[in-house]
Amino acid sequence: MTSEAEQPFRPHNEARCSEDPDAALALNLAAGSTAALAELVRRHQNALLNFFLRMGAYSNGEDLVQETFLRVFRYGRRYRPSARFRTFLYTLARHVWADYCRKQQRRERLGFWLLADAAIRDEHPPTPSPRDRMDVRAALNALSPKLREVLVLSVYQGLRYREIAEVLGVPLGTVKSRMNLALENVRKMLNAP
Amino acid sequence: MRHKQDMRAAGCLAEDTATSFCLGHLAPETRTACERHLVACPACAARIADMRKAIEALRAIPPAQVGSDLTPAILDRLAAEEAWQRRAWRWAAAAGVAVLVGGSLLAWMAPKGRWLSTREGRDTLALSGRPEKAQDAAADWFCRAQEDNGSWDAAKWGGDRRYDVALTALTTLALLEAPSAPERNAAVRKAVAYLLKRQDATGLFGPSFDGAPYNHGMATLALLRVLRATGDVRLQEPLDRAVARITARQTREGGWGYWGEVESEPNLSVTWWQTEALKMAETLGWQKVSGPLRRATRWVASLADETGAFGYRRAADTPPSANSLTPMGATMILAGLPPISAERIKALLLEMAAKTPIEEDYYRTYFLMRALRNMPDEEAGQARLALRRELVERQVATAPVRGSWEPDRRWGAVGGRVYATALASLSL
Repeated sequence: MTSEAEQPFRPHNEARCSEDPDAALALNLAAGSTAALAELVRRHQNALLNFFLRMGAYSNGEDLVQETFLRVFRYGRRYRPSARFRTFLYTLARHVWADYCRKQQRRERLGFWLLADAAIRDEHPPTPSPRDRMDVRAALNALSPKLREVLVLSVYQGLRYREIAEVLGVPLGTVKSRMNLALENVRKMLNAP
Repeated sequence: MRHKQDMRAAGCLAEDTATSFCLGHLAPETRTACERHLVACPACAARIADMRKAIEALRAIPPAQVGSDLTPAILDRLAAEEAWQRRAWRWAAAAGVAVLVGGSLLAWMAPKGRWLSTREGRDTLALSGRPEKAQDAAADWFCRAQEDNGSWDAAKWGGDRRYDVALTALTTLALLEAPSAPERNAAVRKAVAYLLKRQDATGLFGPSFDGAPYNHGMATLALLRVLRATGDVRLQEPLDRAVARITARQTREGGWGYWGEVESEPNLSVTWWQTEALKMAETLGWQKVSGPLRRATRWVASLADETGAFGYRRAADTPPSANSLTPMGATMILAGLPPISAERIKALLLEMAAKTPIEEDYYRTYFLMRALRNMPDEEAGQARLALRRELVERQVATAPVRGSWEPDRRWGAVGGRVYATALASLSL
């Protein structure tokens, strides 16, 4: 593996490079090239890290990036040039995120009990969230996972609606309506008194 | 085309047209049509301005970058996986032969765990089963040992009463990491109420004394983690004051020291907890913490000497009791160091893990495990597994303190059983 990684990378199919900058690399990856994987990691690691951070990952963002690329390699043979590589990449990233969230399910459950706790409510009445405190990260954190993933994929990762629909496996109209709702919620939170 | 129809039908911009317009997704002709409409329709223009403001605010979050290129780590993991698979095939083949030849050989080996007699095999078992059981047992002990007021009483379990807040916070962190159960959620809820009650008018958690930054840093971190888990905005105001208190006490050098009447020199141990809290605050959207965090990271980086070891107050300052420094420093800046330093630090950590790892204290074990997690290659993984095995072996298996760890290591007299158990459980 090391010796292959050291070899200069040769695109498998030059023609596809004009449509999807990663297509040639992805085809080499499908053939089992670790050199292609290395180049794809270099190209996408920062974008993917930001995806996980904005989805709510904390110090383990880089672990999740690594896990995604390991899956990219494992499932690379399933890649078909009919879709952009980044659609394939974010589909796997979303699965990695979903697996991670399943392990963290207790956090979701915690959300219900604390809100219902009378002792805390009595001693610490809810305080308004001034504009300067409810900043945009907090607004992003407050979105539901479904709205948040559409917003992150669109606004930060730059995916088009059609690509997002493919990544999420939902109809295009669903992506649009979730995006509208997500932006509307963020807008309201940022404008809250 | 669809967008044009939307506009004609409603007169004004449909929701998804407006969103697409703001994101720059529209075809030129549709975009021009929208722009014409906006000139004539102040309501739509205001809506678009508002939406653009939200998108700009979202895009203003600065993008993060990986600490260092992840390619080598990923290729290492891939190589380790492939090596493991090759070994697994060899075992499978050997087992197949055994079945063919001996018939009942596997039946003899499996119940005694001998069929996984190689190191990798045992590790897989440890990873999949025992840590969760150990965490479960620890969480059950925490629930049994919690006081009615929501705290864990340091003195009752052999520690120093002044650290009740820190220990309650550490235990809360450990419970948040443990598998969920209703009684554990109830315990965290009570702990949160207790911690909030222990905040004074200046924002400080716990009593005012030299060791206050441990109470304060750990309590702030624990409540931020609860806020992250629950989104409960009622925690924001107390946490605002707590975070402000941390940033206000940062020293000129960039670290934090003990908070006595006279500010002491910054040291790595106190600094670690304040920085960990600020990192979580930044993730949750707190403003004005990035600058302090940058300064803190710079200061911590200055503590590393040419061998990769970290000092307590400055490079090469290594008091005998401060054996957690290198793993502690490594968790903060390992990813940002130049490759050679990172390699040296890694070598030091592996050496540390190999030498009777938990002999001295659980504080070091906790940071060692944290630092090793930042090095996702096989060697670091094996070192973590060995540490984990040793931790599990040391857990008390009999009543009445089943699930806890003995406070017989360094700092046991300060933290007692609650401290030992919280750190051991968090290390798993």
